[in-house]
Amino acid sequence: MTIAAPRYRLTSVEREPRWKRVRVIVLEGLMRRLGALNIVLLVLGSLIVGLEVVLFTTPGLAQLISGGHGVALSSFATPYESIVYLLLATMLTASAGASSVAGDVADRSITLYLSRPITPADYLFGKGAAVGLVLLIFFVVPGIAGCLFAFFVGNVSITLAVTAMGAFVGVGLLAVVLLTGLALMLSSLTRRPLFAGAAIFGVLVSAEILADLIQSATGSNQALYVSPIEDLLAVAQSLFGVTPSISATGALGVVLGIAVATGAVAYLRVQRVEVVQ
Amino acid sequence: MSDPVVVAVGATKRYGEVLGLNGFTATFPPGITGLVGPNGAGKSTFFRVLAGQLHLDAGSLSILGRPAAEPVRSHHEVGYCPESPALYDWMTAERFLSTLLRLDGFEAEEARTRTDRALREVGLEQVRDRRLAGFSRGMRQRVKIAQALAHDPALLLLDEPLNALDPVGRVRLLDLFARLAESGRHIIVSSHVLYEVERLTDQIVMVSNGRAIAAGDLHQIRDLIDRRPHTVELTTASPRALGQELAGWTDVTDVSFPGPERVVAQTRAPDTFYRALGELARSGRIPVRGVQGMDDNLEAVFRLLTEQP
Repeated sequence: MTIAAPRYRLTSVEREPRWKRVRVIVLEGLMRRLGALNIVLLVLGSLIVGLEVVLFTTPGLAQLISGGHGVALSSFATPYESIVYLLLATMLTASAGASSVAGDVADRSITLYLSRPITPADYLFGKGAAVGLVLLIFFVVPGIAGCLFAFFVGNVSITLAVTAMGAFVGVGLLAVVLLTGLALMLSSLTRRPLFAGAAIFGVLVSAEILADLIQSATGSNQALYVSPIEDLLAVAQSLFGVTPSISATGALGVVLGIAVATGAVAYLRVQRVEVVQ
Repeated sequence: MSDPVVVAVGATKRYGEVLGLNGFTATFPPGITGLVGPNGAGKSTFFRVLAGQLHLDAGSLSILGRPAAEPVRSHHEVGYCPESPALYDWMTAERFLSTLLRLDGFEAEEARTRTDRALREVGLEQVRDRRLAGFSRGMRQRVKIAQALAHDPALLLLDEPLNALDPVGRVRLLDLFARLAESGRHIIVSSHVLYEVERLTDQIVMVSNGRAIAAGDLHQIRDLIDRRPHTVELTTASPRALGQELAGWTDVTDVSFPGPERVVAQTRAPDTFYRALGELARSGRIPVRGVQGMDDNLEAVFRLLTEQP
């Protein structure tokens, strides 16, 4: 082992702009989040979307399944109405988002981020973008691929295919904002990624169960607003031309409200985060 | 006199009911300053506040003339080597340094150049492609030092930087720190192994229970404490006669005989004591073969200031 004498000069080097520093956090976060479990969940989600789009938009098959109806915009909404797909989305949110902040605090590597010229907002944005990109792949990419398949193979009109793509992008972005905000908040509230993962999964699933129970007991669909997943589903159904059980506008308000509130809590938490050994 | 590098005024940090910093007030001049104190004294808390990782409950801190609460502006000029061994274990040493340099705002090519240089400086260029998870504690320590200095900061905060290093590594890094200081860097280095700091600098801030209990030149600090009991060991062939002589001096508070031909005296006035001792030696009445001030090292100064036995 040798240690050479340094030859330093006090020089001023042009630094890259802030967004490029944030990009480093995003890319590193994305690399970490593309682990085996998340890849499996992404593949399963893609298979569900792909399979359902093919089944519901291929001439002949579509008419067989939908009882003689042709391919419509509502045919593309089927993934969002699948409990398995929504369960996979919940699992992916928990898996990808749990360690986003809690992991850095747990292994104290957050000390290295925080000793760099980045603000808590930069850090949180970078972490959120990494989680969000994974969710975006889950929600948007298979949908767009399905629309292209429907257009090129299934003889779906260009207008319908593009409209469906727009709906996938719209719902996908909304889902990303909602679930990323929730994941960041719960991850920033603990230093144990396992707890954060359980909390993310638990909050989404228990809210869904609670909404169903209240709906069953009262017979009122208003109870569905309690569940973020039901709110997301209502907006998705509306965009895909299906009449939702609750008002899509109200559900959109709830989703955006949750996203803003959870994002704000996460920001306040990260701003005050301290690493005490 | 040059502007201070770091100024702390009444800095207070609480961990629940425990005080990490308790009205810490000190000024750190340019060059190397040692932050010395026992484990739990508040050294790491002070560094983490400087690095923007902890928030003060009261008081203020400024780094290079700017409030420590402005991390983005300050962190370009500060390199922090934390005591904790936390690294991004999934990365190789090269990618780790390169990533942190990109976070510092260096473009990719510049980051590569600086990564190469920093790894060379800490002697890790041979293991640059190995994942950090497989690094020994000593190697991790060197990676932490490399990341602290790779972006050419004006101020280095080194929290127990020599922990886990072998003796050869320690000597070489002490040399590295000295050279960094010679080239215009300011360094605040903490240690509870006092001789390590003593080898680097005479400029120290002593901390105990979250407070700076003394600051300045080691010799000046000794002058400050000269009014307090000062221990001197004398070697003589006539310990009984010397003991009787010393016991008669007004400022000598205690005389003991720890071994044959050895007398240990405690005095409240070292200057007067040494003057009188010189006269005694010159008179030849009692032969004195050796004089050893037992407070001549940092450890002894610290013991006195913290009133530890």
